[in-house]
Amino acid sequence: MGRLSDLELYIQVQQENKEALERLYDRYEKLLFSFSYKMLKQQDLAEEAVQDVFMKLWRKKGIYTEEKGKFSSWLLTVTRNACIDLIRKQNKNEVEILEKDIDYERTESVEETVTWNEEREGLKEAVSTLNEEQQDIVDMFYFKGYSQSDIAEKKQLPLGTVKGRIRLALKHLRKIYSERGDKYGAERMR
Amino acid sequence: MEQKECDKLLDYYNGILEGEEKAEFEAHLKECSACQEELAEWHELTSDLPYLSEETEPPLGMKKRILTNVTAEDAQQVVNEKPIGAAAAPIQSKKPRAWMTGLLAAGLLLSLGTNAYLFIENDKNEQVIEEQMSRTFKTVQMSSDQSDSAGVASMIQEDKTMKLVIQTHNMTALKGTETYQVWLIEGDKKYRAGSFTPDKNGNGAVVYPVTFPGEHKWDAVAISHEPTPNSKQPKGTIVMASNL
Repeated sequence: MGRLSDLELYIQVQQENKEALERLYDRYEKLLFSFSYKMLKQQDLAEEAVQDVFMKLWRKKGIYTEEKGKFSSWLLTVTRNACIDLIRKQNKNEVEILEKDIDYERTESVEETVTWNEEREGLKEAVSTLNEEQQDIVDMFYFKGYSQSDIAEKKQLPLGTVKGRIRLALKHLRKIYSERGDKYGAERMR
Repeated sequence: MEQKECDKLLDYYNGILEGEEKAEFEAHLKECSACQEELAEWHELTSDLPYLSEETEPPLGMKKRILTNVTAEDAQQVVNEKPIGAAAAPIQSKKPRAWMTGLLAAGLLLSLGTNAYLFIENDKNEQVIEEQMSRTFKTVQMSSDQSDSAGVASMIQEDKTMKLVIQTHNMTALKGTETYQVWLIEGDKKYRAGSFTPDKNGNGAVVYPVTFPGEHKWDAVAISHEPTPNSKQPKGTIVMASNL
């Protein structure tokens, strides 16, 4: 059994193949959970978010096509939306949480797990070149899902400038990150 | 006017818009190529950001819970479409919940669709146990008019802990991962209060320590028939309920 691409697995999941669902799950469990945890900061909510994502996949509520870009990017967007839904529900006080002691497990699976250590190091380095306000704005906008007016209020900025600030910060991040990537790429060539 | 819609793009991207406002924006988005391009740009600009997340180990048993829930939900849909065998028949009632009292029905139904994320599984501390009972606060009878299922629910104080004790009989047999789940209801909130599977004679019981933080004034107790033991909110049919 060779390694199937994400797209191939996705198509099998659409055909209600449970084994394909499990393989896709194994591949992305850690990335999606880690991302959800970063956004929601609570284990049980993060688990709920990951479940919502796979529920959408399995029930064909979320449809992926290659025009939507990389499968992983699409999956992460779906995950972010699931997290944002949970944040909103939480804000409406519909949630009562009991944290319990959670045991951790190492997934024993033959499926190759997506890892992203190198990317994270590069991104963290790029983020550190942003000033504090820019870092805050990116966090509020992307990971906390704040509205433009909330960001304006918290950062005491005119509403009309918020979007420009976010865009500038993200563009800067992108530039630094891709330059670093090129540098590393060049080193590997030698 | 157009400008105003375009200004909502970022809030749309962040899932802030709801209901009519969201629908209006989506209609606008279909027509406005500038917004389409800009939305694509935001996706592009943020596509690396998830990789800033620290690697975090998922909690124990998450994979099993999620895969079971995801595929079991599916199985339940099938059941709803074409009712299966006799075992589940009394519970798959034709007029579900018709017997419920107004208050209770409102409380239960209101939030069937909303997702209050209450408690993580209480795992295996819910079993058939013989308890030394000290002070009985309240006892109510429970019965189903869809089947012969019946039971008794009691609130008992033992040492300093309040316990909910449920005993049932003539419960309909369960299949696969199906479980009977007990809920304590306060207003429109439902709290998991143990789950059980009946023995071959249809008897099942639960002793559940009621240790939710804060003050609670319980309105009712209910038992539902769930597709898996993991429902954080009732997903299945209410089998029986009683006001407390």
